[in-house]
Amino acid sequence: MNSQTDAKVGVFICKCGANINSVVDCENVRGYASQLPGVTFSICNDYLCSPDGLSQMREEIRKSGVTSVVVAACTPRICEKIFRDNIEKAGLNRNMLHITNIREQCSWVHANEPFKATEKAKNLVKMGVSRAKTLVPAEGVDVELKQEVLVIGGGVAGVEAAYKLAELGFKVHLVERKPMLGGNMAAMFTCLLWCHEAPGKPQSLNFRFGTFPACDCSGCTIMPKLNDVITHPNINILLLSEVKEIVGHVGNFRVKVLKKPRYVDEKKCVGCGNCAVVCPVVKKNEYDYGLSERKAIFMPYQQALPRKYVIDKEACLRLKGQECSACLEACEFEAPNFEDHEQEIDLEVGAIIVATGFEPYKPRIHGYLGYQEYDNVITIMELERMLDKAGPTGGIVVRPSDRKIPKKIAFIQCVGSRNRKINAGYCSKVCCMYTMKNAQAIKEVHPETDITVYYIDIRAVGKGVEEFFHRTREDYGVEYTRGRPARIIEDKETKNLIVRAEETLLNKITERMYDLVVLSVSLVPSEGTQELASMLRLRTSPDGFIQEAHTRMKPVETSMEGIFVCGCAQGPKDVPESLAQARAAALEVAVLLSKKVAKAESLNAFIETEKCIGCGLCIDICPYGAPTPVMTESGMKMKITEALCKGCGTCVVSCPAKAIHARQFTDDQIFSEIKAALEAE
Amino acid sequence: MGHAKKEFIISEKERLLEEVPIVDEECDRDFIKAIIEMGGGDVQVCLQCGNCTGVCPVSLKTENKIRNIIKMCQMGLKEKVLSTPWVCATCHRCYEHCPAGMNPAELIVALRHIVVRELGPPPFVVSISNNVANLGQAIEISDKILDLRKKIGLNEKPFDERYRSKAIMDIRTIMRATGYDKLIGIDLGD
Ligand code: SF4
Ligand code: SF4
Ligand code: SF4
Ligand code: SF4
Repeated sequence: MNSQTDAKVGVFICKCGANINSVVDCENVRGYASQLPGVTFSICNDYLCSPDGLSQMREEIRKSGVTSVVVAACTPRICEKIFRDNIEKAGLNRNMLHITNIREQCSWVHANEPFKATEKAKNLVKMGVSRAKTLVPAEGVDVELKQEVLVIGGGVAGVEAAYKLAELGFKVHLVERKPMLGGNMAAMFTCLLWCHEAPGKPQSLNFRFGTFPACDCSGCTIMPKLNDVITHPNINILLLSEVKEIVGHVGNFRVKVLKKPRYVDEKKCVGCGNCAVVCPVVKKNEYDYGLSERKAIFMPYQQALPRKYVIDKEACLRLKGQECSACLEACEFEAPNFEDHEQEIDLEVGAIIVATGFEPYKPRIHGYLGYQEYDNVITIMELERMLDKAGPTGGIVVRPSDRKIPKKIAFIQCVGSRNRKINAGYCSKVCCMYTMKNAQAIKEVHPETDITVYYIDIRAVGKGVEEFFHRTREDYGVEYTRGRPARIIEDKETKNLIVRAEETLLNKITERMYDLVVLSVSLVPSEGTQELASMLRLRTSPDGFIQEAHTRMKPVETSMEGIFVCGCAQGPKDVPESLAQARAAALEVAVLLSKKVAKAESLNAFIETEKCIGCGLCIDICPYGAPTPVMTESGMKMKITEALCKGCGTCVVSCPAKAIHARQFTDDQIFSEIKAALEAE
Repeated sequence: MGHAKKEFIISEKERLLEEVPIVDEECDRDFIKAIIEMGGGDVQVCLQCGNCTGVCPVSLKTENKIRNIIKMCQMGLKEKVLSTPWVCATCHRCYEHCPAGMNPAELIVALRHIVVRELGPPPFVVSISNNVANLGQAIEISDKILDLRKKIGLNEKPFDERYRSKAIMDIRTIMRATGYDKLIGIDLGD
């Protein structure tokens, strides 16, 4: 088809209510457009993207037999898909559409100059019409959607998403770096205080403290879920594993996972622990934040699931080349396996969910408030472990310096949160509440404990949380003092701590003595988040968490199609929120993959094979890894994987042989626009 | 001032102790603009956590709490604030500790600029400035000290006059060039 002469263009101008029409004189633009060569008709509509607007559009296209369409409306970011779908419904090829943005680029930016804005809109429409005449039909490519899903992170969010998808019938690969599932939530096991009869009598019978505000036991709530996941036939759990490489695109990601050796056969080990009894090596247990000791063969903590032991390669005598096989001898099931080795596992999945969670902030890096400088300054996670009846101290809170039960405890809020010197200064959202929960838990066991909470603001929003705050102050008698502590000084002899702060509500500086100081540390992105994000080509927000695609409208999508995010990987949040988001992400994946085959927009670049000189420059330059070399009879040539290509055009300008063309931005199309722009009236 | 007249009867003693409420007329919200102009631009950053006051050596010893000064600036309590800025060692500890990243010490410097420009320099600033211009140091060496130095066999003056006079000339040049002499009202001759 000689597009230049035969083309019949229909122009649709959207008033967007007053959004465009109050500045740009749409009727004027319409009149102007109708005079342009090749234009069959032009019409205005109040809301072109409304059902009425769209059906009028279809009617006009069918009636008039236009070959291409110009839409002058808002940004294609919002409306492109709607209009392409619509012209397709009207019988045109979806590629025969040009969108001219007369809202963001005219009425919004030139709100004070209506005349000039209208002139600009006319020019843009003229350029659009000129380009529309050069458009050629193109088919989007079919992409097969692999019916498997990769979930990265085995915390509460990852586990929930994996479970829901598995229930829907998808095969799910759940990759977790640690030797057990459950993440941070599983380590907050305060409930056992009651289940195992706490020392000091609990005051109320329903005494359970896991997570706020209901204080239900995190263990009791997460364990059944973990068991479901562990036994689910559709879930492939890869522990001690890390994602090493991801290539591909929505529907077809190829993933390399590195599985580190456990040195204990997961199938044989029954978790009896006979091995650990005899193992001669003793080390500090990092899963208890160094509060307890473990052997070289160990279980991270007592309730860890799956209940499989693991050998610490750095610590094990045998693996260091010395004589020892005590564990093997003690094990009835011959589970220890010193020949275990690293494995590389290749997966092919259709979608990915990132649920890498958070890590508690470690104040030492910035050396403040005395953490790891003074024995009796601990973080909240260490306190959580102490409150675990099966934990390092058997459920009793003690001072690390002398293992005595503290009588006066200070909590310091916002450690690492709301601090622009440390990070983006974000609020970690849950610290106010976990402090209340832990203060209440301590008071339940030792009602005589004197607790002060130093805070800047109490941010206790959410269902039942304000009431939870009142309960902490009124029923448990916890004192709240407003002011961020300035310094902590240790009494060298007693190891007591003097906290100096301004009590801002009194305008007085206070220096008060405590036996134990607990830092309510912030939630920071878990280690490796940045690397994973760059591997997946995801954006991160200034706070280091994974950036969702749109803060309000796309809360679990990411900047990459087919990759979703949930839980604390996206930002600090509590358990119900993580769960809700995990389910949302699972639903998005299910919706995406349920189509089995997807059509990718024909945005891609393509290579004229005859012209390609095989230099490979495009390979280096493409941010999406779309060009790949192929061997042909006439030598090495490049090929672009259509489904990977985003049509950014970077390769087009890089090609010295001018062999690459962007389908939506051919020279022909761009020059026609430029020519129209430069044409005299 | 525009605060409501007290209707009920209070004793004379109570009247003396009566705390006068702060009223709208005292809050000059343009004051912040003046502060920003003088280099105290981040005054609105402060979220009133009190950390600065806790570490401030001056706040610990006086009724002047740096956080209060910041709050008063935010409210525009110009008159109240302009009597405070000389009580600060400009040690910048507050800045080191502030989690919001504000620099209260610079705010203090900005306030000093405003005081000097609007109310004139306080006498001690004039006398110190005179000393710097004439002696090259802020505090005069008293005769007593000079005598003492002689008695124990030290040089009469703890510095070399030749270099000192060169330095003083430089200081005076800077004072003239920056208009400091006029601002403070010290006479440098010609
Ligand atoms: S490795 Fe053997 S001894 Fe050790 S916990 Fe497993 S089954 Fe028991
Ligand atoms: S072989 Fe290693 S893990 Fe087993 S008992 Fe000896 S040191 Fe412990
Ligand atoms: S600079 Fe001034 S306000 Fe800041 S800590 Fe030092 S003395 Fe206090
Ligand atoms: S430390 Fe910073 S944020 Fe806190 S009161 Fe002082 S100036 Fe304001």
